[in-house]
Amino acid sequence: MRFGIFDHLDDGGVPLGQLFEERLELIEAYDRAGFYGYHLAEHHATPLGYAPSPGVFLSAVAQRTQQLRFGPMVYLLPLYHPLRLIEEICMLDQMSGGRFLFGVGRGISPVEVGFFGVDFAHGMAQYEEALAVIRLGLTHSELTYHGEFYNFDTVPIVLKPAQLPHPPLWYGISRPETIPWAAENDVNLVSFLRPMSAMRSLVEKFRDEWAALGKPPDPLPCIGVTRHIVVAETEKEAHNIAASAYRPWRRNMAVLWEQRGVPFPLQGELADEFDVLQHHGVGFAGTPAQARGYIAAEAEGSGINYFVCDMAFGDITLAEAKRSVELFAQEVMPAFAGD
Amino acid sequence: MRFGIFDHLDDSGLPLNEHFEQRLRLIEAYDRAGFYGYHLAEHHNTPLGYAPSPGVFLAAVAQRTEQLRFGPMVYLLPLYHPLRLIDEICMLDQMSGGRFLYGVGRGISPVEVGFYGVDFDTGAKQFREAFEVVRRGLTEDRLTFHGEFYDFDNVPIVMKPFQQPLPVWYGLGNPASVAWTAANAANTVTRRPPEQVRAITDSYRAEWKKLGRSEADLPMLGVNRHIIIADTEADALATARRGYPAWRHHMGLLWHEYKVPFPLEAALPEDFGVLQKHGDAIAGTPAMVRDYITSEVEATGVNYYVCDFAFGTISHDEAMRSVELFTKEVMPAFADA
Repeated sequence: MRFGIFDHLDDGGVPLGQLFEERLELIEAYDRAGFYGYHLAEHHATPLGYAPSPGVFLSAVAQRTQQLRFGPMVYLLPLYHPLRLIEEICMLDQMSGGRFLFGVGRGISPVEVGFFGVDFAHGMAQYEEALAVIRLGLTHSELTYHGEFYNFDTVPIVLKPAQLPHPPLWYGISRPETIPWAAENDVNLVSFLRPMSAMRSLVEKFRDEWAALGKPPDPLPCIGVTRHIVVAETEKEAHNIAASAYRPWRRNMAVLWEQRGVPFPLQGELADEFDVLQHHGVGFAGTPAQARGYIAAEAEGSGINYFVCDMAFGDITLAEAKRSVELFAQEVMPAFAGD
Repeated sequence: MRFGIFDHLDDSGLPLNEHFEQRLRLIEAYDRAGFYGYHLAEHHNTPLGYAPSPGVFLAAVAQRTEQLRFGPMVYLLPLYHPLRLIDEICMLDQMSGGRFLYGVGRGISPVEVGFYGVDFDTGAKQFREAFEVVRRGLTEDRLTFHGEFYDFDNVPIVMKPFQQPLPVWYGLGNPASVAWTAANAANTVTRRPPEQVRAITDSYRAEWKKLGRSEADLPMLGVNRHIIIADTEADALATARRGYPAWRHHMGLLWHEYKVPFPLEAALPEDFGVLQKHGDAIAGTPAMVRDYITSEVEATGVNYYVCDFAFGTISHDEAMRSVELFTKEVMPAFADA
């Protein structure tokens, strides 16, 4: 079992400069603890995401860490000029000695992509074209492409990524229909707050597709799920921290949708209070021993090979999050070292 | 007198990861030496610029330095979505405690902007619009703008830069742009021969006065020169002559490949010795460089002197030696000037 981190870098109730610096300090702790990957969300014009240009923040992450892999979860491809993204990916991968995880997607919020002038209805088609263009650019020294959204004629490509043929692809999966594409393209998958039972069917479908393609069972790409995790010495303390930090994060999840009168697609699913989230099994606050039991059951129940923690959300303090990470690294991760 | 650095981050022949890491170490030396600003070029699809997304490299610079200000020289505004640029600027300025220098321009190469689908002929107009959109986005909570190139309706802006206002920088080559730069209180850097620089600084000061602004508030007016320093003149010149041709080649490369006349063909000789004879560069001992800068400042009227120490195949050690000698034996002579 590998462990990862998912981060919205949402508003923390502290000045922005402090938020950035404290988060980088926390990421140093993720690096020391031996987490595999740090996955940073891209959101726009909302307190849900203060790294709207994730590449800029990730460049700082590369400087502050040694082993930790990192990447956007996900780049909203239709919102970028493909040439700039090709260049940025090469820079980040080279500047980190090949630690970049290339997360791709189309954007789930019609409001946010709308601000950028992207028509949500065409988002999927544009995303697919953008990905094709970028993969061509990352693997060729000249780019030619003619599509509905993008046109390039023998553009010289002078940078190459450190990881060849290109950094590993990552995708935030919500629909089983995407699985054949993911299996075929060796795409690593992370599902956002999906309940264990629903996760199980995704994982099984992925393993089946993988086998049907004649690919060896090992190594399988990472297939994981995100969970809000708060660990403290006592259950009560962990619950108190999680309950209060969760509320501003939950508010920020929906704020733009509500402001613009667009139905928030997670409205019924995403609990208003952390206790309910935990009751549904998609969040956890407790002691290290409880965390071990929770994760063992989650892994067993869902078949995932990657467990992605969201340890800093809402107005959780740096000290609280660092304590979670310390306890997690010392008393939870070792129990899964052989899996 | 303040000193700065200009950098193309052009191909040096090293593997890319080493090139980036060595350059960051050199920038740490700039920081320790007390340089004011580090100005990074934006070029695309050419070995002339391996930081085509300057913001990504500058975020690393912010982590590796303490005092040094930094920024693109310049962001090619028409090549960015203005919302992303607003976001990126706020992030870089906040992540550095307010050390970001906001350099803006339209791009001087029709080939490079053409790759991005930008029409060079309307680039200047698009630049003005983009500049205004970004200016509003950096200072207002809601962005509304309706123009020929950009349309925004009540977009929430949730981040602010650390500095208010953010210092604007402009690469000033065309005397016709002086009025715009002065009106926007933009700091400037130019890479022209001394007499043309003088014309630009005179004109900037005159515009500044006409605007009723005080001499004390005059923005930084800079000149950019290639500089190599070594213990002997012969060493310095040999290093410069060996390192320069690769950079010179990169400067003209895309223009030649796409058969577009390179506007600096005549201004940039093939040999560093000739460039130096024209007065546009120096390779020499610390004493020679002191004298050179003294007379350049006198001749050009600049208040900011911007050095390019690392270009072409200049090695990391050679550039470090230049910086070391510059810091110890050149900068102190201008401490009060």
